[in-house]
Amino acid sequence: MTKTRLFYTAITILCIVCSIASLYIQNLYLLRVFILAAITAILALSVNILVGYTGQISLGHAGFFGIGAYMVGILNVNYHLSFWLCMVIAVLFSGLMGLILGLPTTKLKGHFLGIATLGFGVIVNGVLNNWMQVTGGPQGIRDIQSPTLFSIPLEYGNYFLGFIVACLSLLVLVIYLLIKSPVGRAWSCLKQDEITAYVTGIHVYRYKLLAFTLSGGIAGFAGALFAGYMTFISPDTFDLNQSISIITTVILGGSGTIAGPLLGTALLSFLNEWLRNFDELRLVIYGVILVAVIVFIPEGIYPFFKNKIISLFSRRKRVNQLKTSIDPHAGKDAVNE
Amino acid sequence: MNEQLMQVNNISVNFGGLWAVKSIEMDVKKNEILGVMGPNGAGKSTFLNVLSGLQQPSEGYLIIGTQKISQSKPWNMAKLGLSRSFQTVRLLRELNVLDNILIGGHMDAQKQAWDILFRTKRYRQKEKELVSRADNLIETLELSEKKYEKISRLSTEERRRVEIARSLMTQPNILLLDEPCAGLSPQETEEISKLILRIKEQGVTVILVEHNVKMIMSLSDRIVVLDHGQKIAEGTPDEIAKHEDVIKAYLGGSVNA
Repeated sequence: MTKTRLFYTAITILCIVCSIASLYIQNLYLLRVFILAAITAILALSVNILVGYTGQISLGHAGFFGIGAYMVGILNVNYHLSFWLCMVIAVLFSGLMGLILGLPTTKLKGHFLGIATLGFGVIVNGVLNNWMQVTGGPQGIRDIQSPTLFSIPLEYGNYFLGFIVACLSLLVLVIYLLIKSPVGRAWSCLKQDEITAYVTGIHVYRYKLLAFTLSGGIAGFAGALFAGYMTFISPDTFDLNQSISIITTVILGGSGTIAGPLLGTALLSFLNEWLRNFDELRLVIYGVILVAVIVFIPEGIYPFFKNKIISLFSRRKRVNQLKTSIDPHAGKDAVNE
Repeated sequence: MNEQLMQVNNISVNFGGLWAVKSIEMDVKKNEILGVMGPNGAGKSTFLNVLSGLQQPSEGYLIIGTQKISQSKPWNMAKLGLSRSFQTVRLLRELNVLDNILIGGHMDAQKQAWDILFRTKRYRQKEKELVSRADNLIETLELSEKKYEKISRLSTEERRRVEIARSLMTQPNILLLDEPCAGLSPQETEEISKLILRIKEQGVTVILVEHNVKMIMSLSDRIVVLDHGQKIAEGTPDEIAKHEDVIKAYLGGSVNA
C-alpha cells in the first residue's frame, strides 16, 4: 500500500512538474509538437476505453474528434458563444453521438462492428465536407476564438500546453478511478467473456453504451481542444487516416493499459517528427517500423517491457530464494555481488 | 424444507423444427439438490440455458417467487437469484482468482459515478465488504494459497472451484451446476461432491446436471431424467434407479430383457 501511494504521489508530482515545465519551453516548434501530442494522447485514451477496456473495435473515432472540433467552431464563430460553453456542448454532443452510434452497434461484434464504426467515421467526414452552409465544406472554419482561462490567454503555446497537460492528467486520473471500480471490472469481464458477464448480472448492453458515450465524449473533448488551439479546422484532419492512425497508436503502445496509449502517442509523435529528416523515405520507414513492432510485439510496447521487467525480477527473486534454501548466506552474497 | 422456489411450466425450446427441450414441467424446492440427468443430447444443457436466461424458451414460462417469466435477459435472471457454472469453465484468464470472484459481486457493488470518482465512504465500505465476502468464499473453497494466482496457472479442479465461488458471490437462491465434475479424477470428484453438500448446508438450492450417475445418485434429493428433450422420470434416487424408462434410455432396453 505504501509503495502504491508512493507511486501515485510520484505520478502526481510528475504531472505538476510537467505542467509547470511547459511554461518554460522556448522553442515554438517543440511547443507545437508537444501540444498536438497531448491532444492525440487524449484521443488515444478515448479510443482505449472502447478498444482496450471494453474490447470493442472503433474505426471511426475521427468522427467524434471532428464533431467536437466542429461544434466549437460552429458555435463559436457563427453564434459567438464563449469557447468554454462551446467546449461543454461539444463534449455532451459527441458523447450523445457515441450513445446514438452505440444503440444499434452494441449487438455487433468483431468485423461487423468495425465496419459499422468505419461507416460512422466516413459519414461524419462526408457531412463535414458537403454541408457547406454549416461546416464551410472543404474550406473549413477559420478564426475560432482562442480560449482564455481566468484572464490567462491560452493563445500562447506555453499556457495552452500547461492547460492541456493538466487536462490530460485529470483525464488519466478519472479513467484510472473508473477502471479500478466495479464499472472497470464489468468492462473487463465483457471484454474477455460476454457470457460470464451475462450470468453475473452485468447489463452488457448498458456497459457497452456507457463505453461508447464516454469514449465519444472524450474524443469530442480532444476535438474541442484542437479547435481552440489551431483556431482553424477543416475536414481533412478528421478523415479515415486519422481514425486508423489513432487506433494504431493505441495498439502499438499497448491497449487496455493507461500508460500504453500515452507511450504510443509519445513514440509515434516524435518518430513522425524525427523522420522528417528522411524526406520521401519518411513514410516508408514509418510503415516498416509500425509493421515490425506489430509483428514482433503484438501485445504493445508497454505491456511487453512491463512483462519483461516483472519476469526478470521474479526470476532473480526465485534464484535468490533457491540459493537461500540451500545456503542461508548465499542469498545475501548474491545481493551483495 | 418443501417451500417452492421455482416452478418450470411447459418449457420448450425449438431449434429450426427440432425440439431440444419439449414441455418440461417441474418444481424446484428450497434447500434441495435437484439432479438433472439424461444421455447425451437429452437437452440438459439447453434446459439449463433456459433457466439462466441464455436461451429464450419457444414456449412456456418460469415462476420464480411471485414473478412469471417467459422471456428474460440473463442479467435479470442473475438478479432473480439464479447463478450458474459451465460445463467448460468460463473464467477470465487475464485476471487472478480474487478478481474473478469479485466479478460475481457486481450486482451488489456501488456503481454511482459520484461514488466512483470521489471514492466516497459508502463506496469504500461496499468494496471492503465485497472483498471480505470474496475472501470468505476463497477460504471456504480452500483457495487461499491461490488467491492472487492467474487462472492460467490453476488446475482444472481449482478452476471449477473458482467458478463455483464466483457463482456463489452473486448470493444466489438457486445454483445451477453444469457437469461440475467433467474432466476431474475420482478424488477431485469426491472433493467437489463434498463442496456441493456444503453449499446446500448453507441454504442454497442446487440444480445439478451431471453425467456421473454414481455422483448424482448419491448427492441428489430428487432427480429429473430427460431424454430426447422430454422429461421421462422424476423422483428420489432410489425411484429413478428402478424406473423402467430411465433404464431403457441409458441401456437401450430393460435390464431383464
